[in-house]
Order: sequence, then structure tokens, then C-alpha cells
Amino acid sequence: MHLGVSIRALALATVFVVAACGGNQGGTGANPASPDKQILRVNVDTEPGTLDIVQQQWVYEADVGRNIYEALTRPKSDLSDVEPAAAKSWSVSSDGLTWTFKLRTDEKFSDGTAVTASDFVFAYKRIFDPTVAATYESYFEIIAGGSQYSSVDPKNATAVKAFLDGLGLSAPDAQTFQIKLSNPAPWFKWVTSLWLASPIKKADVDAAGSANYGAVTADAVSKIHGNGAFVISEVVPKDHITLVPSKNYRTQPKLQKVIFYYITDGNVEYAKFQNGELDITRGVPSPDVPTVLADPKLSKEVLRGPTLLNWWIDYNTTRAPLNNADLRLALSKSIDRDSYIKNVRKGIGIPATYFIPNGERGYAQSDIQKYDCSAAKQLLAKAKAAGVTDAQLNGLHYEYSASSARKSTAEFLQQQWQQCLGVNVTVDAVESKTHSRHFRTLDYWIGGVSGWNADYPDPQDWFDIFLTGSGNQFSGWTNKDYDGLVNKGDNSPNQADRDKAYGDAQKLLETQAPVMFFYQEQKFLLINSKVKGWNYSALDDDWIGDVGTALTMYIST
Amino acid sequence: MAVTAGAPRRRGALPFLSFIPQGRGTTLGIYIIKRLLWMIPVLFFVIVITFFLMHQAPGGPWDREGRQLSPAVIQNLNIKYGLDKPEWQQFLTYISGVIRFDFGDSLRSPGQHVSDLLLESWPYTFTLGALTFILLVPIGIGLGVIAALRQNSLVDYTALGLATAAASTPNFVVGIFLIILLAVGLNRVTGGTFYLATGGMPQPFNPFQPELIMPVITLGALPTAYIARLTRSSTLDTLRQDFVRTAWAKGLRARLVVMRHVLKNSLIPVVTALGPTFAFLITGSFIVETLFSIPGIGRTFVNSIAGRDYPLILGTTILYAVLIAVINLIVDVLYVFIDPRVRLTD
Repeated sequence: MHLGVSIRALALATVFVVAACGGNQGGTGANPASPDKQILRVNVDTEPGTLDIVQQQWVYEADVGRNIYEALTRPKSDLSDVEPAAAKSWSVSSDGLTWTFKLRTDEKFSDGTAVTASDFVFAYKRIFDPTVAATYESYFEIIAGGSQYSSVDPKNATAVKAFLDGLGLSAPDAQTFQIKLSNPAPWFKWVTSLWLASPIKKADVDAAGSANYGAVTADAVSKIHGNGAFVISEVVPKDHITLVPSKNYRTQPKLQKVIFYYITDGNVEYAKFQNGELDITRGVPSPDVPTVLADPKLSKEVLRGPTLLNWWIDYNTTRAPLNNADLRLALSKSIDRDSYIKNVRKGIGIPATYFIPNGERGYAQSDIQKYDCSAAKQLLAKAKAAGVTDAQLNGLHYEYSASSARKSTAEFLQQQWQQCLGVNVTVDAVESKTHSRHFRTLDYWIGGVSGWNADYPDPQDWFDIFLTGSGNQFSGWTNKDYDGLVNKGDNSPNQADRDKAYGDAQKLLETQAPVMFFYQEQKFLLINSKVKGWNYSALDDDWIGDVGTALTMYIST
Repeated sequence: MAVTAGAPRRRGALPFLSFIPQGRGTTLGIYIIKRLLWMIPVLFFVIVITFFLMHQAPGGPWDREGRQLSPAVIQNLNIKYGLDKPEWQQFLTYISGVIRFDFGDSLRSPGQHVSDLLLESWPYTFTLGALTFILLVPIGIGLGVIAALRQNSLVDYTALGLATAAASTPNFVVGIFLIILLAVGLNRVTGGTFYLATGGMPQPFNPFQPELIMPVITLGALPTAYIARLTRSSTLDTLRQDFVRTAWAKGLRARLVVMRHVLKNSLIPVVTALGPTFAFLITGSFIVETLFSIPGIGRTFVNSIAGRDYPLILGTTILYAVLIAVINLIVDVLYVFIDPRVRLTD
């Protein structure tokens, strides 16, 4: 959540970028195949719950939404900054509060009507509409008036209207969209690149009714008009959705069809790829990874790269004996991450003892939580001296959301703690919803794995997670020093000050260990060698068309 | 008719129902109506149990791992879907909706009615299940009868062995095995000229499509084996009955003995089992539907439970309850035709 007050420098300091996403490109040299062969078949796992862009919240929804709609800005492929998308330029007032976006004059919805600033005002208001209850609303609360969201009664139409009209959103003319913020927040540029920050045609919502707009039904083809490069041409509920190029978009892609299938089973996905029924997979089933790497054909179709997704193990710091920081660090230092990645994850993933993922500003390799059994034993002895008993230690439980992959993770952790510290941790598998309820109500000892996937590559997106009272940390951890450092990082006008504050906060977090940093996710998927023109970015969610869009992709001969 | 006891044959007062044996036309009509009326309290009871059980389950529709929703958004979502009201009030609202055939909107798919979602997915499940059933009956009964007639022969052992293998292999293993064999394997071996596609959307109400081959085998393996084994043991029992011995002694032809005397009696328990089997098949299998990308109702149901999509859980449960009640009724009525000893009473 990004509710932290931020008074950051407006001057965009040179953004530090690790060359983590280089070398992952599809190449553009090959000849494109004939237009009738320009069909890309990808898997997004699950059917989108809605085609209403402001209500889309899951990766599998945004995968589709990003191609139908276009926000004001989009991330550059090297993630150093945002670049113009629906907006051709923008400026920020000297107090940092007023952001003025100039829209492209040729920006059109798929039915040919021009996109105007009022369409953006309408869509942004819809994000805040409490009767819609868009789940990503909190990301926009930095907009003036937005923080009132929680106090508006959705059943009171007058109050809702007054709240929406009072937001800092306006359209001085058809091409100018103005946003007023409650605090200067340089990172707001990233918010304008989120998929849901796209314009919506009011006539579409009026025709379908606000409650029914976006329903994923066969007639959505004629009911949804986005401003993206693609347009929905077919909706087959629960099976697939087909996109074709929008004739009214400013450039035309080579791809003539993009089909998003909903295949949940990884083995089936893998079989379909081998059968030529799918061009890009979401991954490879863990047991098949060695086969793929050994296969002369498949090994050449592997795409492997880091993602801005880090995993960790949570400690319930409100419950003895885990309220002892030395014990938490001891437990964290007794896990051999290298062995985990090698043996349990078949080499897929990057062992991590750091918070900010490699590939993003703020990443710093750290030894604080590094695997070191003798240091862990010393820390445990210290914790015992401070009153932690063996009975408490052997009463610890590790809880995880039941799945076979997580079972092997849990058993690995259990064995490591036993081996290094002689602590017997009981492993409990519970159903996913129960697990998340336990997490939220702090009704567990140790649990995992939890993680965070960057919304945008700014450290603010990450550090706010562990602020006191944040809904996204499950450790019940409170640390005034950390809060102070993060507030400084979120608010400092000077980029070097920000980096310093975040760096100190990161060290504190690793030492205090409300969580054990575990590993950074790595993309390991298959992509048909005939697919060219793609550009992989660490910010890509599920398929590689998220940041480097499907616009540039094509099928070669 | 049958050799065993039963009321003397007589025609009832309703000539248009004279096709019904034993002249029980009126009784049967009243019986069916009564059974249909009984469905109302049964459904009500099913709704009550499901409603309160699912609300009892830990976690709610907005609970999730990882990124959490803000409390304000959760509050607004609850208001949007009426989940902010006390449970008894939600229950009354739901019941009053059901009476008007309004089953509410799905929580996971905003703007989609539960009834639409069910009507969308059930045809796929029904096509797959009905086709499996049509193939299962002759194969299962045929294998069982042949095995019984040639007891302890190679045929018997082969049939029984196949049935045991099919019954003890989980369907996700059968499914994946078929995909590797008939899809990926055939593709490799034939160089891509002949193989079954792993996916492909089956057409509802069309049994003649290659997309259904693998799912039908996967779905049908276990129930076919079950029916075959049941038929075999039931036929073996009947073969040892006195009236069969009498029939043989009379010098009847083997075909006549088997068809008229043995089968007619040995199939009664099989028919009893076919009812629930049919219900099992047309209510969908999560695994088969997931493996073969069939957008059916089995997947819808399991996903709705995992996602705590309350209206969708209730809607699917009601549909299942109706299907099973109707199928049970059909089986009970069929008894009258198959076994003259059966009398339908309240």
C-alpha cells in the first residue's frame, strides 16, 4: 500500500538500473510469416473475473486488460522511467502537486471515437467509486481528496457524488487531464502507468449499467471499447479470449490474433507447448526442468530471467518465543538457500537474503541473514539466555497453504532447522483461505511463503509493506526506527537521502528479521522459437507482453 | 414376465396408462407428483445446510495470500454484495431470490449472474457425462456378463484385471497418461501428422468430436470398471439360482436362458448403481475438466468453494441437488418396469 506521505524531489534523479533484464529479447531479424499465420497463443492460467479495467486486480486480468487499454504512461523496457503512452507529454507544477497530462490527439477508442480528458476523469473517478469497490483504489489515494475514501457511505448517493466530484481530477480541455495530489509524490508517475489507470468510455458503462459493465460474456465484444492496440474479437467463457488489432490504434501490430487460454494445470500447459498448441507457457513443471534443459529443441526455447518478485517466511513477532529478534535471526541464518534452490526448486530462482529484488533501485546484497549455522547457534544461545525455553522452541509450528510445491518447501525448512539448531518445528498444511485468515489475525507461529511482486520499480512500493499497521505485513512487527527511516525515504527531496534512508531501513529489517528473506523468483518459461520481436522485462507479470507489449511481437517463417 | 412372485397381472382403470405394468397408473402419477413436491423441502434443507456451512468455513471471499485489500475496500465490497448484513438477513434475501429464480451475482465475476454461469458451463459437463454414460452401460455390463459366463477363464481374468486396473488408477494419472500417449506421444511418433489435440473446446450436445475421446476415457474408466465388477458378481449369483438351473434343465437355448432369465434378474442391482453413476457423471469432475480444458461445472464448483464465491457455491449445490433428486426419481420409477415386485408407496 502506498499511503505514506511523500514529499520527494521532483527532479527525477538518474535512476539506477541493474542490467538484469538484458539479453532477453526475441530478436527481430527473421522474416515475418504471412498475416494468416500471425496468431499468438498464450496461457494466462485463469479467466479474468472482469473486463472492467478499473476492477482488474489479478495478473491474469491485467494480462488481457493491458492489451485492450492504454494508460497515460508505461514503464520503459529498461524500467528506468516511464514513457508516454496515451499522454504525449506531462508537466508537474513547481510545488509538485499539480500534474498536467497532454493527451495524444490521435488517441481513439476501438469504435473510433476520440479519447478525451473527460474519459480519464470518468475512469479515475470510477476507481474511487465506493459502489464499484475497485480493489486497487488505495494506490490512488495520494490524489487530493482520495484519503476520504474510507469515510464515504456507498449507500448514500449524494455523499458518493460529492466525494467523487471533490477529487483532484479535472479536464480543462479535451486534451488536458489534470491531477492534483495531496502531497508531492514523484513516484506518482508510476501510478499513472498501472493498467487500471486507463480511460473508460462512459457510454459503455451507461449502456451496460455500472454493476454489469465488464462482465466476461460473449457479448462483451460489442460492449467494451478500449483505447489499446488490441480489441476483443471473441469471448468464449471459461476457455479463451481472442484479441485482434484495433483499427483505430495509432500503429498496427504484425500479430493478427492473440489468444489467451485459461490452462491451470502446468503439466497440461507443458504438453500443449510440446504439441504446438501453445506458443508461450507460464512456466515449466518443476520435475520437467531437467528434461527441458537436456532437450536439444526445448532448451533453445527457454526464457529465463529475474522478476521483481521476492519470497520470504513470516514470523509472528507478537507471539513468544518469536518476539525475540535473536531467535528470529537464528532461524533465518540456519536455512541454506543455495541448497533449497538447487534441490527443491531444480535451480529455478535466486537465493536471496535481501529485501529489494535484484533489478530494481535499492537492491543491496546482504550477509545479515546469510546461511551460517555456527552464527545461528550463537544467536540461539543468546536467545535462550534471554529466556527462550526448549519447550517453546519445540512447540513452534510452520504453517503453509496446502500444495505439493509448498509441502516440499515446508519439509526442507523443517529439516534445516532440525539439522542446524536442533529445533523441532511442526509442519501444518492448511487450506489457502484459512491460511490467509490466520496470517491476518496473527494466529500462527511461522508461516510462508509470502512475497511481494513489484507494482512499479520504486523502493517506496516495497518499504511501505513493513510500516507499522500495514495490511501487507503479517508479522505484527512494529519498529519506530524503521518507520522513521521509511518516512524519510518516502519524503526526502534528495535522491541520495532517499537511498541512504532506504538502505538503513533495509539493514534494520534484515537484522530485526520479522521475516526471513528466502529467494527471488526467476522466470523459467518456454517460448516458441518462431515468436520474435519480444522484449522481456523483470516487471513482466505472467507473460512477456506486459511491459514490452505484443505490439512488437510477430511470428517468423 | 418374471418367474418370481408378484401381484397378478391386471389392467387398471386408466387405459392411457395401460403400458404401466400391474395397472398402477394412478399410484405412479400421484407418486411422481408427491416426489416432486417433496423436492421443495429437500432443496430448502440443502440451501440451509450449505448456506450456514459455507459461512462457517474459515476465511471469506476477500481473504487472500500476499497483497491484501484495504479495510475500506473490503467494507465497500461487503456492502456491494450485501455481505455486511447479518447472516439470517442474507439468508432471507437469498431464499426470496431463489423463489423468483434469482440466484444472485457471482462475487468473483462482477456483473455475472450465477444462473448464467451455470447454464454456460453445464452443457459441456452434460455432453461429456452423457456420452460417457452411453458408452459405459454396454461396455460395463457386457464385460461383466462375459466375465461371469466364462468364470475363471482367461476372458474373465482379462476383464477383471482391466477393471481392477481402471478402478485403482486415479483419473489424474489416467488423464496425464493419455495426454502423454495420444497427444504428445502420437505427435512425436507420427511427426505431427496424426495425434489428438490436448485442448480444443468441445461443442455442447455434440457427441461426435475427437476432443472428447481422452476425457471420456478418463472420466469413464472408474465407473465402467465398477459396473463391470458389479454385473459380474450379480450375474454369478443369479446363475446359481434354482430357476436358472430349471431353465437349463428345460433345455432352453443358452441365449434364451441368459437374456431372459439371468440378465433380467442380475441387472436389478446394476440399475440401482447406474442411477448414482449417471448423477456422478453429469455433475462434472474437477480433474477431468481441468486436464482437458473443459469449461464445465465441476471446475466451476471447486473454484467457487476455493474462492468462497458464496452465491456460486449455493447455485451449484442447488443444481446438483435437483439433478440428483430427479435422477433418483427416474431410477425409482424405472424399478416398476424392471422388477414387478416393486410397489411404489409413499
